Amino acid sequence: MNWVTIIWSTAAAASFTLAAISLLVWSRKFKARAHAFFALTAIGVTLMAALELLMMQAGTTAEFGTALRWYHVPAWVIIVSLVGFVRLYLRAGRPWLAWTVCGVRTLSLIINFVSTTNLNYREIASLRHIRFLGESVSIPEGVSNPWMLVGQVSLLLLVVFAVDATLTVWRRGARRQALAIGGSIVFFTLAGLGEAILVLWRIIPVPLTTSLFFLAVVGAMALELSIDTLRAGELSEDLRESETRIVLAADSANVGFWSWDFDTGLIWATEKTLEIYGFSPNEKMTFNKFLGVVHSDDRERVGHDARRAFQEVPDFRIECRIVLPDHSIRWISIRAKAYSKPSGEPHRMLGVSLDITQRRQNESEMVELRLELAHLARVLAISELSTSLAHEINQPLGAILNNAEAGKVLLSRDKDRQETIGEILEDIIQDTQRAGNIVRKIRGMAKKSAAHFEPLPVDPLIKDVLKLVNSNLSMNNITLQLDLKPDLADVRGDRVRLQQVLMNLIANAIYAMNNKPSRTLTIRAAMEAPDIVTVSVSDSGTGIDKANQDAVFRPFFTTKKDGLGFGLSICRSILEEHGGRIWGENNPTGGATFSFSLKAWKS
Amino acid sequence: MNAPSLSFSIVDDDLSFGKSLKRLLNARGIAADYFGSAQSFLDCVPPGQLGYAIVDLHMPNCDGLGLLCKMQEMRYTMPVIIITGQAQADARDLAMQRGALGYLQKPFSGESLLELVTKYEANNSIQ
Repeated sequence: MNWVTIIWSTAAAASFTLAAISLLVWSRKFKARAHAFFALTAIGVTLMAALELLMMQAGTTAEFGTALRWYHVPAWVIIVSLVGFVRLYLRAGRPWLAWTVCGVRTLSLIINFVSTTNLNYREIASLRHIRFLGESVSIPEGVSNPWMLVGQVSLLLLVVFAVDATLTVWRRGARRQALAIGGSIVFFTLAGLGEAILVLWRIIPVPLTTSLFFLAVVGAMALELSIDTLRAGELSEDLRESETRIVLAADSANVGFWSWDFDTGLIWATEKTLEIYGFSPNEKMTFNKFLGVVHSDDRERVGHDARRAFQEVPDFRIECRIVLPDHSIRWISIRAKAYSKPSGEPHRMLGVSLDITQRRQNESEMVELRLELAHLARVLAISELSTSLAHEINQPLGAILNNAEAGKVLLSRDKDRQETIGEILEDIIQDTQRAGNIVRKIRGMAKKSAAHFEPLPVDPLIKDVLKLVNSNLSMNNITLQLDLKPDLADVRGDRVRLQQVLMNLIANAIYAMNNKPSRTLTIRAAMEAPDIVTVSVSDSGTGIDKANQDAVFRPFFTTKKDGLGFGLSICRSILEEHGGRIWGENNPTGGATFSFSLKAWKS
Repeated sequence: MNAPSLSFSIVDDDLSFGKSLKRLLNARGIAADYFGSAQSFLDCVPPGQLGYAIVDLHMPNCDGLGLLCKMQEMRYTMPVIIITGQAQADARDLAMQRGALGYLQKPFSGESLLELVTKYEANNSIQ
């Protein structure tokens, strides 16, 4: 067993294999230049190992000398490649140091070929044969070449360079990488250097094993590169998982991701996006196809805003309609960001699209509902007092009927005819007008109309409402107290709406005093300020719960068993419309007082 | 139809209506008086007076049924006819239960009022 042959051959073969693999990788991706330098290093090691074997098995000094001469070529390759690898892979090591190392080593290579024998020996006198690993190997004996120093300096410089690079990487935090590559370069170069010196100065009789040392370095580099590949695989896996998670989340939220690449003109889109836009699952989406499904009314706006995103503001936000293949319309909300190349040309746009058809529909339904509710509440306010209203109309009707009948009877007689009939007709006319007014009031309140402001004297305003609610009050045994100051200014308001407010407050007051033994309704009107009139409706009822003093004015708030909760909130809107205020507070003697203030009419 | 010889007392807080009813009865040759409230009726008309009372159901301070009760307490002999502008089904039953002679909903014709009275008189004269 020629161990020397086996070991050195294996070393060369291993190194060659690593080099081949690395070259294959580099051929797939030329940007991975670190792999190229690694391959070069490994090839260098292969050649170095081969030459070392030749030297050890050299028969003549000439053979040895030639081998040693050519030996410096792979040495140069290795050193320069190592420098390159450290610079490209570790991205460390000062450039000027790198160039210096390469420069000095190139110099030593030139000297090697210019010198008589080689860089190391001026002259190889003879070959000694020693036993090494059970074999007989040749080691040289001769006169040293002082120029050898240049080569040794280059190696030292390499060590310095490697130390600097290691420290940089270490500080960066990639400690394993630092030690593996930087450390191995430093260690094994020094080892190689040390060994060479010891051999050349004949201190120890061993052949050069530098190639083995550099094989170790190559091994460390190969290890790092493998770990990198593994990590890349893991990262890619993580990335895929992350992407899947994002797409799943987006899908469940009905959000569609897309990415528009200007160079290819294609829009990458998730399945959800295609679904939202009504495209088939594997269809290729482009901007024109997208514009094609946009509603014709919105198309110009969308195109304009999309273009603007690349020129001015990079944000593209728009809500537009699209028409699906079945002609139905969908509302889409798009939010995207535009990215331009440094030259200013559009590069890509990333965004999300959301189907907001439901939201839009809900919004318009809400608006309609609110209008309906306001109307309904007004109608309800009337119906709450409808019994009293029916009563009010039946009174004048009853009187008209009686009068008409009386008139008929009197016409058949002579006595008292003229005077009495005149009076009868007068009364009939007045009662008919009375009935008509009541009907008009009811219809006015039931109508959805815009507010009509006019100067309103407060006294008749309140008394008109009281006429309507009179029977309700008597029906519920409520005592009415009026405190209307004489100096009240006319207020600026809409008669129907303000009467609605009063009716509502009175209705609430009546309800509040439902089960009370003592029922008193007090209505006051006074000048709060030179141009503000305040009207208040007080009851002797249950009062307002402290917690609810402001809440009572909110929609849907009610303490009535089957109340809708709109009366007071509508009162508040009406007062706001009038530029006034409405508020409620509890009376010290029990019950509540609701007051509202109105601006005086300024002519 | 024979006009009843007794007089009617109209108790209603609605002046226009009260006036019109009085006018109608007078035109038919029937004596009638108008009172604006239960209290003024009780003040002016003694319990023993003969005649009929036409009382509105909804009045402030003392409503129709209240007056009916008071009249029964104070032993008024005149029967009471309840009239009202409301359209409540249970009010009729309640009034009849309390002993009213009749219940009329406004607007009502003079005929319907006198019919009630005539029927009542017919029933009571048999006894």
